[in-house]
Amino acid sequence: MSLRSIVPVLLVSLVLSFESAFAQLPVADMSVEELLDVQVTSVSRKAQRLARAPAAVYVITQEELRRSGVTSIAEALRLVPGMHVGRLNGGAWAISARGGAARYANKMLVMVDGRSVYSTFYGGVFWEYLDLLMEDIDRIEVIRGPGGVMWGANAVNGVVNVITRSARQTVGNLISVTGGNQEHGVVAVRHGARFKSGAYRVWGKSSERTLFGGTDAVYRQDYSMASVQMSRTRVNPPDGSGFTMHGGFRVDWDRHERDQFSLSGDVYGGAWRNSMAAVQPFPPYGVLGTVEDRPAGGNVLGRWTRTAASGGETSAQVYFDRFQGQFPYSYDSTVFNLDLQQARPLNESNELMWSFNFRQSRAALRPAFGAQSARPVRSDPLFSGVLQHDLELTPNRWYLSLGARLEHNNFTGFEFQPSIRVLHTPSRKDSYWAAWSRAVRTPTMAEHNITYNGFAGVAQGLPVVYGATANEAFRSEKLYAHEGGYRHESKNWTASAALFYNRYTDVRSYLPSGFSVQYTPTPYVYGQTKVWNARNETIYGGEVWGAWSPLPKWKLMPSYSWLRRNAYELEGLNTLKRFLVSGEEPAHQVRFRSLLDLTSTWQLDTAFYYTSAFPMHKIAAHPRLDVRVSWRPTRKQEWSAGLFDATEGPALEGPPEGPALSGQMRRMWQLKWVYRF
Amino acid sequence: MLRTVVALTLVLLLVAWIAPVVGSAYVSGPEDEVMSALILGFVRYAEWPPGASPTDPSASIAVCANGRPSLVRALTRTFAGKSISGRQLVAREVKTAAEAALCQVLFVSSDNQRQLTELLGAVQQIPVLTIGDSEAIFAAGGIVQFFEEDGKMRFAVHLDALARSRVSVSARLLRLGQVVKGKLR
Repeated sequence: MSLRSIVPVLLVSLVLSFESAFAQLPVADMSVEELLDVQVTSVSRKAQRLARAPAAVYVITQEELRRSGVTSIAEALRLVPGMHVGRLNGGAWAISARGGAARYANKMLVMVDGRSVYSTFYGGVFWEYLDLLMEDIDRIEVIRGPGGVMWGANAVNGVVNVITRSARQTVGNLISVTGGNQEHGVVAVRHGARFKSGAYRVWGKSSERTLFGGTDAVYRQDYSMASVQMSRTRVNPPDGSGFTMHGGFRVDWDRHERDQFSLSGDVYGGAWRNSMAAVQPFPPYGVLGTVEDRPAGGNVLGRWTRTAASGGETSAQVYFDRFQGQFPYSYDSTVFNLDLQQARPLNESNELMWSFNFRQSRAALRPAFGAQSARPVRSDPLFSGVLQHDLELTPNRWYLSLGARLEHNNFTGFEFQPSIRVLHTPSRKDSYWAAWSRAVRTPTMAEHNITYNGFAGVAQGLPVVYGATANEAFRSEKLYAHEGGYRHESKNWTASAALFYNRYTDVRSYLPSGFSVQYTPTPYVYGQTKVWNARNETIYGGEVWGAWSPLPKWKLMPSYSWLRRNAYELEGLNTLKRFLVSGEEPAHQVRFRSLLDLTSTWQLDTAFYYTSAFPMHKIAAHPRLDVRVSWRPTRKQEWSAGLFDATEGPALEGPPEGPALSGQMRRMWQLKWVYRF
Repeated sequence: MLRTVVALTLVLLLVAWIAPVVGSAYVSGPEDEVMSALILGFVRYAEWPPGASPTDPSASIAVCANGRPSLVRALTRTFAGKSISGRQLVAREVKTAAEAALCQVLFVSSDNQRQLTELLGAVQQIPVLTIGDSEAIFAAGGIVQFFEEDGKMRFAVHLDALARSRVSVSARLLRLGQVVKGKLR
């Protein structure tokens, strides 16, 4: 059981008394048909309870993962209502909830079994190295909205919690082979077995991916507004292709039935080619090049959980993580992290949870492409403590949750992140919730340390190059979030809705600090800017989603989300703003999925997505259709064929960020074979 | 570094402080509850050949388990206050082949391979509905396997092993599970 993953449960433990999990389910009186429909793993029990949390929660189950045909965690997030997932190239994605989608989307925290994979050096997630064995993932819990109390800094716009199966649930051998025009070859193997008091598994996965469209159109789009002639060299091999190799293990065992232990780890490495534009102040202004990144990393995590008969739980978790990469800059990071947590019911209607976290991270950075770093090596300790009180105000009707986290980090000192959540359940089928929270996004190492140049366009016939200067006085960005939601659960349908109004203060801006005209090698304007907390902005919107089974063998899942960002301040710097504003998001997203069992062995799954335009980045609206057919002749094997993005030709899915360019998505097909023995 | 050491020491002290506070008894998981209820379903839909029970028809139906104490506890709870055609249901933990031979239903956890082979061998010739929690049950000559798929409990029945045991299970129940055929041990 993951320390971070039990947190949402604690968050909803106020719901416990009327749910009381399994104990009150009249299992003994159910028919066999009903029994076969009961979620049995304790984790799914959590997933069930999560569905009643006072937050906008969506849980991707293993069944949904399998039926989506996706081969990576990043792609799986397309299943989440309101989440924007734009594939930029073979191994890079722009992913965010509630605004700010960019390659280095810095307001989404992502965890794997309680281990953070958010890079505090860049702010963002390297999705390409998050290449787990999909069949061993139990579920992905996604919370849209802040989770600062539970998960700490940078859980601002959302939290993604990937939870892998216990080794007890993966006993047996598995081979999975995927091939296609972009997923050239994804091969995964796993061996799992029991031993006296537990079970283990070892696994390996190798993935080779590419992006078909090349970068030609991107390049044109990216710089067209300045109407500058750029060299339009096609990159060959295409941008963003490469491979990763991943191997790992997990052991779960218990002692005296009340102490659960888990030890897991993985190592990975690979090679990725990334296209990027290096800026120069004379024609053709940008030089397109390919950089090869040979990343390597590994981590090991140990956890102990003690379950008390009273319902309380105590856990301790330690992990160590190392990562080395070369793109866009060469860096090497090590993280040691320790979490302690205890949840204790005080009485029938009160529960108290506290936790403590300590993290020591060290990073060594070697900038390239004209960028400079003031402090290339730094070591940062971080401490935080959480206290949360969950109360049942009136039995089975009103619940209140009060929580706060106090954190101390090396960049900004103390950070306070409180949250108040209220849940009202007038009936077993309906629930209403509302929440107010404050969350922070702490500065990245890049914002404090890296100074780089960008190309802004042409003014008065002269090219304008800007320099973005790091600033050690840059503070955290703050979010004050106001959210509310409603949920209805019926026998064969559910519907949910959430509204949010997010006010951000001290948002990152690059303020001009001076202009000069340079004469070498050719005349150009050099604009010096510096990173500051200079803006406020608001993003508000809503999401509705649901599921309906018109027939037992057919499930339909529609969703719609809408959001709006206030007008950007900095209008005077219009030409600069694309470089200065982090990310952009589509205003409307529509999804419609259908999961149909044709026969007991054949399944047909389709998904339609519509993403509206990104006006600032001039990316057009994009409809997308995915179709998948699967055949399971026996319990042991499954054959499936998928056609993704079946509707359109080349299309961009998201904006580029930093020196890396984004490429086009093309129609993608794949075949997959899974064999268990 | 010093700060790290201090922090770690504090943490260890904290662990030492919490550890005794936490309660002891472990609650059976939902898996056990669902398995027990499924076993009850099997008992409802199964018929043992006449004369198979060592004692008279009013005697209790013994559901035995080996290697999974949490299941025995869940079975006891599930069976509380229930009877089938006037026969009491009894949940029992068994350890030896002699004890196993007195059961109508026998669940053997596959954690202990040697025990699995021994217990199943002992009941091969008598009408006992044997159940296991991994595929090893079929290799050992057992009849029913409980397994998890997508977080839900499923079962598979080995038809040839069922026929050999002379226990009959209603087709209505069999339709809900997967069917396995093939050579018997």
